[in-house]
Amino acid sequence: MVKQKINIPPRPPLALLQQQAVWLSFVLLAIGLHVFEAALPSLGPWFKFGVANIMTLLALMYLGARAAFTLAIARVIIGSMFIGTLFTPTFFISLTGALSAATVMVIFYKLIPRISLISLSLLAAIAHMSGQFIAVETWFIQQPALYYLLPPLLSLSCISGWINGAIATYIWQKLKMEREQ
Amino acid sequence: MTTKNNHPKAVTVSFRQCLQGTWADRILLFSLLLVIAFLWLQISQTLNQGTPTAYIYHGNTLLAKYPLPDDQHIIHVAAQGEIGISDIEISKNGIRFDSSPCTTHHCILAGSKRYAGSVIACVPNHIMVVIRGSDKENKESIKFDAISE
Repeated sequence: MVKQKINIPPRPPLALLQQQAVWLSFVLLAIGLHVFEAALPSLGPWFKFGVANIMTLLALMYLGARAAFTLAIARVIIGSMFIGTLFTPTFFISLTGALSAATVMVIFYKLIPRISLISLSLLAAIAHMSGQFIAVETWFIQQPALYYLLPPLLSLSCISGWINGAIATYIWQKLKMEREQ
Repeated sequence: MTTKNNHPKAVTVSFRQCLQGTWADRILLFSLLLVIAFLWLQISQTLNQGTPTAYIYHGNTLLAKYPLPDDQHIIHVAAQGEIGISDIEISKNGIRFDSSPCTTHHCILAGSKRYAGSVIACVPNHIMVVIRGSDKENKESIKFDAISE
């Protein structure tokens, strides 16, 4: 009888598996929030509260920049599949907004490590809205007149950014406590 | 203060405390609002010049330009966009999308707009209407309206 040597790949470390599980749970929560928000009546077309950005913020704090970026992309793609807007103008606008927000979050987090989650969320909300406008102006309606709408929407973004930041801070405190125990 | 496992005891913070933010957060918010207000003022000054006029665009092309009528006269403009024709109605009450080939019809639901700075955009059809200029009654007005899919 010939014994066959089977090469079993080494098991990934537990810490890595745990990180992947946390990332996946964050993605699922973000998708849930994305779909939930799409179902809600909006304050005005184009304005959304951006609660899914809370998960991007938490992913950045908990897992790092790469996880935050991948979460933002995965959330928009899978969320758009659920709400039926994949590859429509809404999808591209949403993706640009999410990526702009994630980029700003990462840049400021790296530049100012002690920055609070509220400040990060405020800056991300502004970036999200501005990114969306730039996307529309670049790809769909090449009219600078579009920016007439920007100031009122940015004001609303400040409010939503602050509240989302506060929610993220609260959840982050709880997560930190769990970690410490 | 330490727990049984010699870890520093985590401080519980209520949501209300989180909502208050830090001084740095408040300063940032104030600065952002200041910049936004400045932007808003600049835009409103540009928009309020001249008589109220509706501009209809397809992408970067100006399709039509009509002063808002003072009488009962109603103008219908058929604007050819990316996915079909949007019917735009201009009357003394303002400007509105009467029909649109888009699926969501947010542009129609945005209703009638008549103040300087009002914008209605149908993103799938790449059609946008803007009102520039203001009369004496609405000189100070710059109203946020809607941008629609």
